[in-house]
Amino acid sequence: MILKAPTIARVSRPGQFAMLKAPGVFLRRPLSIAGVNKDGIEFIYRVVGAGTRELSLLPRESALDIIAPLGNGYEYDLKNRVPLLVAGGTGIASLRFLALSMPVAGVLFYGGKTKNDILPLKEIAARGWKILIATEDGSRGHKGFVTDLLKRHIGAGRPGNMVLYTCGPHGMEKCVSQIAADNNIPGYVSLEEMMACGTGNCQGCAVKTGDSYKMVCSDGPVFNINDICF
Amino acid sequence: MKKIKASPDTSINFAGIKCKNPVFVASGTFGYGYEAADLTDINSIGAIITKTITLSPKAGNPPPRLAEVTSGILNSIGLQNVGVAAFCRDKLPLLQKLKTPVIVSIAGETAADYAAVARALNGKNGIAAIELNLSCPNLKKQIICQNAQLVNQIISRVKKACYYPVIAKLSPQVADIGALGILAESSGADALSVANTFPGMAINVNTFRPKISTVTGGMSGPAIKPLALRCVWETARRVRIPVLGGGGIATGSDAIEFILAGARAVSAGTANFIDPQAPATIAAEIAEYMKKKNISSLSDITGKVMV
Ligand SMILES: Cc1cc2nc3c(=O)[nH]c(=O)nc-3n(C[C@H](O)[C@H](O)[C@H](O)COP(=O)(O)OP(=O)(O)OC[C@H]3O[C@@H](n4cnc5c(N)ncnc54)[C@H](O)[C@@H]3O)c2cc1C
Ligand SMILES: Cc1cc2nc3c(=O)[nH]c(=O)nc-3n(C[C@H](O)[C@H](O)[C@H](O)COP(=O)(O)O)c2cc1C
Repeated sequence: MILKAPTIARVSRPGQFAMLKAPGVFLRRPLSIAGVNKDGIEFIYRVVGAGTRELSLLPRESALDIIAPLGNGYEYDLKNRVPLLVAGGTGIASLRFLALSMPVAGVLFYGGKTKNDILPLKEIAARGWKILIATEDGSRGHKGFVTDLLKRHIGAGRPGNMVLYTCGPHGMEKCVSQIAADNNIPGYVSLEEMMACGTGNCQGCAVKTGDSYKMVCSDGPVFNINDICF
Repeated sequence: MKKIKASPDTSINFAGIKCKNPVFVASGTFGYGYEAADLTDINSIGAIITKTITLSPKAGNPPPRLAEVTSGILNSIGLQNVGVAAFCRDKLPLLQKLKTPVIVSIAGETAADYAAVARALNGKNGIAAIELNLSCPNLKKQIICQNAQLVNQIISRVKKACYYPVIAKLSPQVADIGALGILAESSGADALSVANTFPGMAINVNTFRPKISTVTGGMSGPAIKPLALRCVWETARRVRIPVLGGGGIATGSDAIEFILAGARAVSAGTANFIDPQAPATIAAEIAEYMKKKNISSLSDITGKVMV
């Protein structure tokens, strides 16, 4: 989905999100900004319930009430490290924007349940990124988890030169955080939690970090991967 | 017929607090009060009620803390806050810059806790009143409002501990909310806030697990509006002190219903999550209604439901 919103497009950074007012549901729905173009912002989402279904049924050229950009976004001062991006399912949304914004190309690990979960990413490949795909049923790429590919890649390379960025299902993020810890690789994780406002006011989207709760919407959604208690 | 100014006067005096309009933001739905400055003109709000502050910092409840239900939400935040010392040091200076009156919501477990927080706030610039959260449904202990003696002790001790007007926020989860209002009034409360969230529950049918970590939580939003409206009507007609009415208010017409039921001011809570400009819009709709109905002051219609 692409929305025309030139001002938001100009100020949005990878990792930030929007709160969209979908017709027919009570709360706004959060979606990551998956990319920007000259006068629009792009979203990639999966229909999982009433809100996303209503969004998917909107006719072309509908007007939509959104609040954006929200959240902190990815930090990507790479300090000469090679970026490894690990996306699961719709986690590709924010990492796509990141890959398209980074000054250098790295490796994108992209996993899904089946080949139907894997979107074409020609623009990213065209920027020199190596894209490694895994599906749980083996219908495309490696059969198994995307984190298998990540472990193999790290084992064959120089972890001291790497930095990790990950967004996807909780289990995958947890595994990536373990890999980061085991190999002493710095990393960032983008989290999803149920949220009502998206702006820090309701304190609903808490995540445990160290000995306190932080808010995914206003402290995140991107966190240092070592700070999260998975 | 008397002539009405182009824009009717929506200003009110609520327990001594001068407000440019009767629409307040409810505690816990607007952060400490200044965070939404990018999203709305905070000075267009009648008064701001901060999230509830306690004596020591509170970490809050584990996630998940929120679930969406039909026309509302269920929450169990658990009063996460920085504690009164950090509030005075870090948050209050930012609130002091606002023109809108700021009401600080406070809570504790004992009357001594409440009094200690009130004492710590006493004498500070930029605080118009204190709201006593006597009604949080998300703590392990009982809801304070269900213990009349404790309600009495808390209000009278807080009144002695500070010189601010004290607003007692009642829980709807009591046998007779009118009687509770009378008790709060006779204990020294300067105003009532009616009502807090209603205890509720939601279950994920795929996992068999409750949708929030504490199993039950507080219901808010349009789903509770008729329930809250009844609470306001039951209390407002039995006390002389002003009542701040709230629960599910999202439009000017919702607010007018509460005013007709006896509320001197109204609060918007959950509505802020969907539209940060809701309070300003509600206030504008009230003004429009007054103009259309030729009403020069809100006091002309307060409590005027015809029964
Ligand atoms: C910061 C952030 C960014 C996100 N970015 C994207 C994105 O780019 N693309 C995308 O497809 N999805 C994204 N999500 C998830 C998306 O918000 C939910 O899928 C959506 O809100 C579901 O709404 P619904 O009404 O369709 O489903 P509902 O009927 O509300 O829920 C259906 C199911 O979806 C799951 N769900 C609901 N809300 C969330 C949530 N907030 N997070 C995770 N799962 C949820 C629940 O398990 C529920 O059972 C993001 C979430 C957050 C918090
Ligand atoms: C996420 C959330 C947090 C809340 N936190 C507090 C709080 O800290 N103190 C309090 O007195 N009420 C709290 N409330 C209750 C609201 O102030 C209000 O009384 C209630 O939500 C009903 O109004 P509404 O339907 O307009 O939201 C909270 C409500 C919500 C939804």
